[in-house]
Amino acid sequence: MKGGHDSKKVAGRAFSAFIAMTVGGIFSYDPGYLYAAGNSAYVSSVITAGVAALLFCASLSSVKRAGTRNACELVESRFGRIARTASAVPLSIALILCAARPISVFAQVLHRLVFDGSDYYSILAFILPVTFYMAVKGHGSVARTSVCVSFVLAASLVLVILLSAKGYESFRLYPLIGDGIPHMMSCAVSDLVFIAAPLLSMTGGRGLSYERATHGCVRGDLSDDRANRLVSGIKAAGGAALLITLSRLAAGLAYDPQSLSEMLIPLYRIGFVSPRPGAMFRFDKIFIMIWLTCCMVSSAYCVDSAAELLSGSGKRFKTAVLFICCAVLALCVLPLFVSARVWDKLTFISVKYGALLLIPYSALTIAAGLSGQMKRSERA
Amino acid sequence: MFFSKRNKEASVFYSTAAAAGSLRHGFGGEANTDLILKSFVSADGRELLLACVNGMTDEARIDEFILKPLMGSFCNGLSAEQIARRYIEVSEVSFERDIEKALSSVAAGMSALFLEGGSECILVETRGFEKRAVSEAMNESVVLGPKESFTENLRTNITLVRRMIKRPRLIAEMLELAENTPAALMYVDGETDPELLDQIRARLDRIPSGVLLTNGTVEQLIEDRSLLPLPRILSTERPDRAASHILNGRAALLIDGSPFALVMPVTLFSLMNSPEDVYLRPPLGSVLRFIRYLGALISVLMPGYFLALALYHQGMLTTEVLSTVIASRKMVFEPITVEMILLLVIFQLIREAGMRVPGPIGQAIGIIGGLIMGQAAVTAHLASSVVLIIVAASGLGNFCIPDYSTQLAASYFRIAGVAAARLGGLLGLSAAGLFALCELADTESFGTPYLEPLSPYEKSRRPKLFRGKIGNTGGAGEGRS
Repeated sequence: MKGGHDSKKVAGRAFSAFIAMTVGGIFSYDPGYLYAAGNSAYVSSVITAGVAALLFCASLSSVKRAGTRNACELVESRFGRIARTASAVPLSIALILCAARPISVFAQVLHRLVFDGSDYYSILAFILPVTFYMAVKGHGSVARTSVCVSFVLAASLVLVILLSAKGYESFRLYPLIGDGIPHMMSCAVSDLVFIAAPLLSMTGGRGLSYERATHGCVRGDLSDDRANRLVSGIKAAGGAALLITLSRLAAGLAYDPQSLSEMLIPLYRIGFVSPRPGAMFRFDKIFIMIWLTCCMVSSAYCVDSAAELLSGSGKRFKTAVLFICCAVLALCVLPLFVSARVWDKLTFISVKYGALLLIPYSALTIAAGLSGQMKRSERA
Repeated sequence: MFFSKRNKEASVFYSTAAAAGSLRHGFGGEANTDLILKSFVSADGRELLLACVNGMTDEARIDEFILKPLMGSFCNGLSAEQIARRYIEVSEVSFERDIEKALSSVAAGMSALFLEGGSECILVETRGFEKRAVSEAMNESVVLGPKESFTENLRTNITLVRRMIKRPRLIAEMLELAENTPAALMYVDGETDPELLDQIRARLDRIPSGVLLTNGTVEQLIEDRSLLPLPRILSTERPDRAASHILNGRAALLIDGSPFALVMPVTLFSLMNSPEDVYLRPPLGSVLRFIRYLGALISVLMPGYFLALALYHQGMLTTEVLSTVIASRKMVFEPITVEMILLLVIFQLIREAGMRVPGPIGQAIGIIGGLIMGQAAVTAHLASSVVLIIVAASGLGNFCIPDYSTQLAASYFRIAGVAAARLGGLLGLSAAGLFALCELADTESFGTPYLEPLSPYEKSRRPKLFRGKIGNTGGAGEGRS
């Protein structure tokens, strides 16, 4: 190794999780539910991110203490294969929802607001092939792509929020912090499926997608990734929470709750509330395309994470990816086969009760960690 | 005097007549008149045979340092090694027992000396053929900085690099590629990853015979596979550029007969850097680098973006711009997509024609194509002035890309962008862009990610859009990405 070369570890998966959480928090929620009793969703996002980070830390600490490679391995070693499946399958379903929901939202928005006269499925024909192609290429490709895209996502969101500042009015914020706590908590729980699932999946698979850092062409060394995973995950959760909160706060300042409950992506055209729209007036479509790109990366990450949880040792990873892709495709084209009322009901149920899908995984991982600790204490 | 290790293969040479027969047969019989077989005797009457290829050797050197001393020598009873030590006044001499290997060496320009009754031949380094002098770089010219470029001669090229890197640990590892093509793998010992060197050697070993090996063919035969047409190896004609990369831990392959060095591994950012960046002060170098990236973006995205706006998202254009576009296209009969593709193809035609004809005429073709044809096309309502400007700006941006192969690849990306924009407007462009980004991120050059150090992200070595101080890690040096 070359002298003076810092053997840095480079982790791309945390960037993917950051994108997935941000996309989940800003573009995946059900507006009718989130803004039913005011526009205080910006508060609930902080609570959600906090709970997600807590679950992630608890799961990863269990894994670290037990000395296993990931949470699935830990659960299997303590409670057997059935428990492992019982924990992995619900989280995989949650990840499938995380992959399908934003695609469906973007397809609806593009079909209604950007491409007049187009149909929903022709929009999907552009989005899904690229998403599935990325997913098939695996975590390495998705992680590397995420690194490039995450900076653009953060910059575009901050830019939109700043450019629309002229149209913000504080009187639109209702309820303020402290009022309507039950609804805020309920929103926080409903968001959990889209924000916590991508983060939790980092504990279940093969860990961070490590690249060996290069210096010229002298390569760095790799070391244990669990400590790094914790830091990267918390950074990803913190970054995502900040962006989600800012975006929701901006939306709350720009629109009243009634309008927000009917908007799928309030940030699109947020600049129009400003008395002088300026640059935003012409660049709204550019921003939505940037966010769509991030949505595709996020969905590919969720597909890969779900496939990794289901395939276990990774021998059948590609088969699992294909299976998950089919599931995402089925969810995206479901509106073709069911009525709008049924579709809305399904969306409502998945958003409201989706958080339940995270319970088996988190509970079994923490329990496995605790049982291992108790055994060690007994032995001591 | 340097003596190489003896080859322990089966000996075949006992008489010069038999050796002459084998050589003649090996060179295709009497039809091949290039083979020179000079039979002569030493002062004490021992039969000797000198074989060489006409035009490949330095005749004065053979006469002066081989024939003249040997004709006056007393060779009887001496072994090949003793003869070489006493009489051959050339520094590089080796011995060969295998006739096939001796034939290959003679074909490569060496002279083979056969002794009556000897069991091996003496191979003498007498290569000397007409070669081009070191001249100014044609494709990678700079205003400031060294002007010289590589030539077709391997030894000259090694010297050019060695003059730049005066380190004792600069290794020029001599290799023989397929078809007896000599090559040199240059690297600084201790700086370059041994794994990388092993990988390069392994790939070079796998090159099949029957291919004329030049920088272009070798590059294709050893580079990593990818769906994208971007180069995964840097071809440079500048010794300073190759030296800069070598100093940064990369390896350069010099091939005999090719006036280019192949630098491995490369990243997209190192392909976008120009030697000029380092020779200018940081603010000026930064501006140049920024303009280059901007040019590349304009080159790849502008035609597709304009088409997407014109076809699908007219609302993104102001009323003034939209009315200008409509007015300029008023009499143009073909659809805007056809017009765009037609102009892009014409641009490629002009570029290709300009490159294939000699300098002054090439420039004239560029002017005729650019000015007269463009003006005529607008007057004849074959093209609108707005689309012409878009294509011209995109073409200018393409020329900002310093690497020729990357330029060509950008042209293909541009056409793919136009097709994607035609199909789905900004949505198609985004999908195609993400596909390309994913492929780029997935591509590797000899194990190094193509987008490194942006992705995988490394804070200490993030790619610098603006040039830093010389000597800083992470962007100032030309070899640094």
